[in-house]
Amino acid sequence: MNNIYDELSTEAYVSDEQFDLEREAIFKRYWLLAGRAEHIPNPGDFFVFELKIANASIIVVRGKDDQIRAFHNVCLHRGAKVRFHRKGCDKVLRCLFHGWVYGLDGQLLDVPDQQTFKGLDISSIRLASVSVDVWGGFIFVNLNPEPEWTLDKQMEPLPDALNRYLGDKSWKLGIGYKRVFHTNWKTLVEVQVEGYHANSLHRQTVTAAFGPDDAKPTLFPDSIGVPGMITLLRPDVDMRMVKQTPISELVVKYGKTAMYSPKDQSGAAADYPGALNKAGLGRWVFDDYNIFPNTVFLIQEDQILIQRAWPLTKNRTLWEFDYLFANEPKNFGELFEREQGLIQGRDTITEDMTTVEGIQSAYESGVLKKIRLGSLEAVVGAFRNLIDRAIGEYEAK
Amino acid sequence: MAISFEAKRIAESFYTEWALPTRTQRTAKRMKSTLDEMRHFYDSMIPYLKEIVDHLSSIDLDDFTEEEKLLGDLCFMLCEVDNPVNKWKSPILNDALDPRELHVKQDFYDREIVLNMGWESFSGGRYSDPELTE
Repeated sequence: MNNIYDELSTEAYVSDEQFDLEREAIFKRYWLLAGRAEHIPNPGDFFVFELKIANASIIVVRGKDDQIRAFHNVCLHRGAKVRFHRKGCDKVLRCLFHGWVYGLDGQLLDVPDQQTFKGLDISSIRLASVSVDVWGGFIFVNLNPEPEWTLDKQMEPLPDALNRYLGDKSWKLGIGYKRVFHTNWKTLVEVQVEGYHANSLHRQTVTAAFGPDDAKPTLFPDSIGVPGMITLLRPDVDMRMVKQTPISELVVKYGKTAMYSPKDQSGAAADYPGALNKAGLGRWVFDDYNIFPNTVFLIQEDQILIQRAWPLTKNRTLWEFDYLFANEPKNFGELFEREQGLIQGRDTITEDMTTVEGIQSAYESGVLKKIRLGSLEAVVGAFRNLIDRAIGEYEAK
Repeated sequence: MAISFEAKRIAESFYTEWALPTRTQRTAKRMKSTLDEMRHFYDSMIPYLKEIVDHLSSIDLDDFTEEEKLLGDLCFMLCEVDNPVNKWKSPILNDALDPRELHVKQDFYDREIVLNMGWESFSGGRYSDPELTE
């Protein structure tokens, strides 16, 4: 496979100018994954989404008309946050500072002692809008009040069947992790979009010998929002088996969430043909997509891992990693199988996460001016290519 | 369906030390154990594990007795020591981030930056607890 890039400068991880361009060209123009529609089911339900790189705090709220809207969490009086708490339900949005009241549609409704203000026309004042849309049941926001493209366009070429698979089902958080890493946001995405590291980095957890076709990259060069994916397969041939344990073999009897347990996934998401595991392989593990810019979906049957990397500064990033499940465990066996999967997943993640800060130090030291990418790391190249394209388009405007 | 007398006897001998109710406690226990201690627990329980899981699966999750909860916690503890006993031969995974550095979110929307969440430390979260690294 030809790489888009096989060598990249490390300047992009350490440069102030690059960070500023990424803010303007990417984080302020792209649809960003903020939440899930089913988590704010009733009028008045809201959550607050902070986007530190843009100094933005955004309220996402379901209105009386059932519509989901998003606003800058900024009172039009003197700029206080209208909502401090990250999630809740209110009939109206009342700013705690002086009690200005906004409706769920953002319209200013009431100002205490209004007569003390000169020429205040309440009807003309609204919370500043943020664009919002839903794909696969996930709420995305866009800081551009007139986005240059639709969310659907950005999510091409993800299959419509996947949109429905994720949107039709109810997904609940099993566990989520967060941490601030001393690294540029891009290193956190890059570690999750190639399987080349699996044999070495995960030699003590996954404990398998993946062949070159077991973590195959697929690129989407025409996509503006999904540069590529990895289709991960469980090695199951000759010397390339996954080393199992008595428990990893046992749990197969109870459920299917533990990633590398010896199970048959050929029927995964059979109700949504084309959503997952396109090739219908028994040893399919997950479909791993870079949802540009900063999100990685690792999608299994009835389980999705969502990693998001939020830039704080050029070398500080807020990382979060969430396990969402489409089913509640119906009995202890399913709970036990799920626990095995979560522990295995956690152990594997601690290996992934051990790399990123050392890498950033190396880039900042200036010792390494270029990184090299092999064909198994093609999605890393495609990801970086899309960053450059986005910046190029922005600068051309 | 009940578990065998032998399974009950073996499990009971481990309740005090190993039947811990939260993942945080179980991880801490695993990290402070020796390989021999974990192996003794694991090897003793494994022959009865399927029987115990099958038994617990026959009961409504909301109807567990105190003893059944302890049995369940033993099963989860076995998951926690599964990799250390079988793959790492060590209570901690070398060359990896200390799992305690991963803060558990309160919900899908919890992105708040709190103390000791990594903003300050630059160690990469490698083990700085002297009890672990000796």
